[in-house]
Amino acid sequence: MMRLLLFCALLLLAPLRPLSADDQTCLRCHGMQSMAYLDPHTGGLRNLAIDPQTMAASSHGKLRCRSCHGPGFEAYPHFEEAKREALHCLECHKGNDRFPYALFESIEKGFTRSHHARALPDRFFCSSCHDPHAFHGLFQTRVEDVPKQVRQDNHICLNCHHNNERIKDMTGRLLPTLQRSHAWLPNLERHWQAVRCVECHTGSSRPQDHFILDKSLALRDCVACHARDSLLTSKLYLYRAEEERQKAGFVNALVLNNAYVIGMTRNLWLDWASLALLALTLLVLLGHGFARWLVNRKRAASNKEGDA
Amino acid sequence: MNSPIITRLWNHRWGRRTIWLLLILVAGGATVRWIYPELLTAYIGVVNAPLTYDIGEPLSEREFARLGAELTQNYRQERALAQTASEENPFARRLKVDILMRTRSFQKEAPYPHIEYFYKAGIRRYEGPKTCLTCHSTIKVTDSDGKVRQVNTLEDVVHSVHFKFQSTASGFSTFGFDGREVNGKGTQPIPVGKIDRACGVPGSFTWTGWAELVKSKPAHGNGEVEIRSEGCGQCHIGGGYHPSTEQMLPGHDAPAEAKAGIDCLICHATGYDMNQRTVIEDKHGRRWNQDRSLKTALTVGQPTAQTCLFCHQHNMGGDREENLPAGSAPDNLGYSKRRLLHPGAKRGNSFQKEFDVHAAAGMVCTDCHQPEGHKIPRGDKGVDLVANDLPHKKVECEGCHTAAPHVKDTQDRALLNGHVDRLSCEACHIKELRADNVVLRDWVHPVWDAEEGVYVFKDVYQSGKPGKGFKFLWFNGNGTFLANALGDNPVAKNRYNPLMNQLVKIDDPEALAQIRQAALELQKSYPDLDVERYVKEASDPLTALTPDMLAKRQKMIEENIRPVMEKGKSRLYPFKVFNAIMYEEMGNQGPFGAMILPFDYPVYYETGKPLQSVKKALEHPIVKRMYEAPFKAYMMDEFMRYFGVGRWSGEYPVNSDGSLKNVEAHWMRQMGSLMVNHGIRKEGRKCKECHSSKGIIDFEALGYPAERIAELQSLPEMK
Repeated sequence: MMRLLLFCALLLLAPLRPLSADDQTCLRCHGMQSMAYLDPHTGGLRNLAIDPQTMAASSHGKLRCRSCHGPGFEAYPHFEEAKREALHCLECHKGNDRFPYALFESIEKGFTRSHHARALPDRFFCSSCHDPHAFHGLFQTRVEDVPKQVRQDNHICLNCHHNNERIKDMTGRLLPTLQRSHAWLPNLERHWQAVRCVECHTGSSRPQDHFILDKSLALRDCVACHARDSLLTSKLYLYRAEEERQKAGFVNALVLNNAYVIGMTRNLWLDWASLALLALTLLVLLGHGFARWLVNRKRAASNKEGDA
Repeated sequence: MNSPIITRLWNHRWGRRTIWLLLILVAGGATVRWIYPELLTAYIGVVNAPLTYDIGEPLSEREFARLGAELTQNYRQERALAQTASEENPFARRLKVDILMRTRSFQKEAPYPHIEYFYKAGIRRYEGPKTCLTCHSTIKVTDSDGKVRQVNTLEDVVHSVHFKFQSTASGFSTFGFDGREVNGKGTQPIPVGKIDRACGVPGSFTWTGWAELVKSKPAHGNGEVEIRSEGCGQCHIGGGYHPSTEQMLPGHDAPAEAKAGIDCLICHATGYDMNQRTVIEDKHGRRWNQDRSLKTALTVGQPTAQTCLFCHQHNMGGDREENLPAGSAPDNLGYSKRRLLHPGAKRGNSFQKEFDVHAAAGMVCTDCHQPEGHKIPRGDKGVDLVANDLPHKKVECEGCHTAAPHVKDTQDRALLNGHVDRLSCEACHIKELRADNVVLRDWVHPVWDAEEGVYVFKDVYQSGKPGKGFKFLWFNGNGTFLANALGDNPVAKNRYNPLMNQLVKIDDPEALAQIRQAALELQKSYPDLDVERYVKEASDPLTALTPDMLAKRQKMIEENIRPVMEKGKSRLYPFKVFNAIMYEEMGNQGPFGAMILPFDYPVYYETGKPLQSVKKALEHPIVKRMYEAPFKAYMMDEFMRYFGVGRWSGEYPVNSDGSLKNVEAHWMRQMGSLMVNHGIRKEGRKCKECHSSKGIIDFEALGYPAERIAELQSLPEMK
């Protein structure tokens, strides 16, 4: 609750926060929304523009530009060395009381072993996926609505993997399209709407696992999810399970949780079809009853007439 | 009628009704098909007759073969000359040319495939569209979304703006001063375009100045009269006695004669001889001749930059641009009855290789203006109310240069790209227009042009310099009915107001001095001219408005125009500015101007009497019709609502004794602003050209608050 309040307060206050003179200086240039250049090595677009409003509303909205960007950026033109240097996210994030204990230690561990870090050493940073100028921490972005959460999380991956420009920018080459690399997966679009990329592409069941696997190690086992005790209950539906537990109590949640098999029967069309079938049955029943009642009444009336 | 079936039918109640119905349908159909067009043609007073051109006799097979060989040989010769241009020794060059001409690969070059096509098809004479349509009756057209359609070629041409100079479609991005989008939702669509848009640059419009013959007395002729050709028709692909007026009217197509008069070759034949394009007069009236020689027809292909510039040179670098390629003015004006050349460039943005980087790169117009069939896009932004065949198709720098166009200057590239957010590419890369770019044109005080031997308008002020010949204005792609660019300062609302500021005031001292100088020159021929008043009115046209009108103007700007200014995303674009003093009909006056009256070219050029010239133009049948009830209801009322006048008075401005009624000379109440997108330089502007207190950008007029101006004018990086 406190977190929610804090979040609301942040959201309300953020856009009103006056920019510091330093930030103003930076935004004279970086506030220009077309501030970008084509990287001569990769041919990809490097965007240097900051949207002040998005920035203010992000988790880092309270920070100054200088908090992360060091002294080499004070004057224009900036120092070349400073431009080459990576951001040091973990300097703030690791071992900080503001964040859950050991969270970033495990993130760092996962990340360094991940395919991204190994394939693109010195080129892949936290900021490659998490735009620090727009990033919302987990406690802000956690949504009740699972499809929305899926969309949001997958957006981080698809930002590069669904965009040849970005892939080219990062790796200098083009990857096969997602449709091709996932051709084995039936019902592709539905899966992408309902499941996050990381469910299959990370090595553990921890929710914030950053250990993105090489594609040869990614999960290809349908039964891992499409079963009782689905893998998804420990990942995507973890929060929901927690909440249900709070609401319904541990035992009830456990009972209810698997009654409707996630990933297998979660089919909106089926839901609607059964509802429609139910409604139709009811309608027929009611119609039948009504017709019988009408006929009976008529017969009673004619009997009376006959009597008379 | 004695047939038993008809009698029996007639006698039957329903049978009789059916026969009546059929008769009515047939009569109705005939009326629509034959009688209505005839009536309408008679009403608007246009003449149509079969158009004949001097096309000679069909060639014999041998003559054809000789012609083909000659054309091919000429082409190879020209290429050989071009290839050896760097050879300075003339004898060596001649030898090199000879060697090339004997080279095997050179000899295989066949630049004109139609020589063979014509030969095989047995075509020995060019008979206009008929000949082209023999093979090209339909063409494949690729839409912008990649769909391919097969269309009727003739219909495609006849319904293109190049033929009809008008459109009733919406999407002009033009807004009336009443706040409505022209031909948009909730309007009564009216035909708009060059056909009916009076303009102060040519001083007339297509109806009153289509094909005219002018008696000139040039200085070199020692008083001898020389007949000259003049008129809007010289640049239009229809060949008739009048513009395509029929297509303006409801349910009326262009007549067959006009379709047969289409000049396919002027766009498609690289060998087109513009010297043929002069006025011919026959028993039906006057019209423009065409080059329909077989020799020219054999050179057909896709349009090139030069074929487009045959006509568009007039609005690009202007009629009098120097060093044009061979086959251009002044060597293509006609073998006799030469066309008049107009002083003062219309836009002043040249598309010659010294002036434009794309022309220097050898690009052709259709590289950027990518046609869909015969519909040629002019972009989705435009302020000049000229009809647009593809109003939603973009023509813009970003199409090729991406959103991050600066790639070379490694230190500043991102910063330069950043500026694209606020500035159009043109803002930096059009450094200046041609020096003869006209800003102020006086039609009311003609002056004698000794060289041409006619009276011409006086260009009171010409300039190609930023802030003078063109101004930087915010632009979101919309414009007003009188060609004023609309947009707003993206960071400060309610401060920018070009219709009360940049477009109605000339306060540059250098410009004022030149206007005064011009007025003093005019005073020599017009002793009554009050120089101070003249300068005041030319530099501040709002002085022509009464206080009431001025208040109404401000109200209309705030209520109707400002919402359009605030739409979309605005960036700074350079706009060529223009104003003219012409005769206006004050019965149709509003806060943004009054109906300007056209001039009759021969009277104007020959006598130098502008009022008589106006009277003559007003006698034109279609101008008279404009003042009658059908035209008032059909389009003039709507026209005037967009104009900000309200309704068309419909009062013909000529008294019964022939004198003009309620006609006064005025400058338009604001300068028009014409988009300039050519004359692009490779090198852009330097930072300090704008970011300095003496820079070329008037930040205050652009609506920036004082503190932001201070910031923009003194960047720490510039010190």
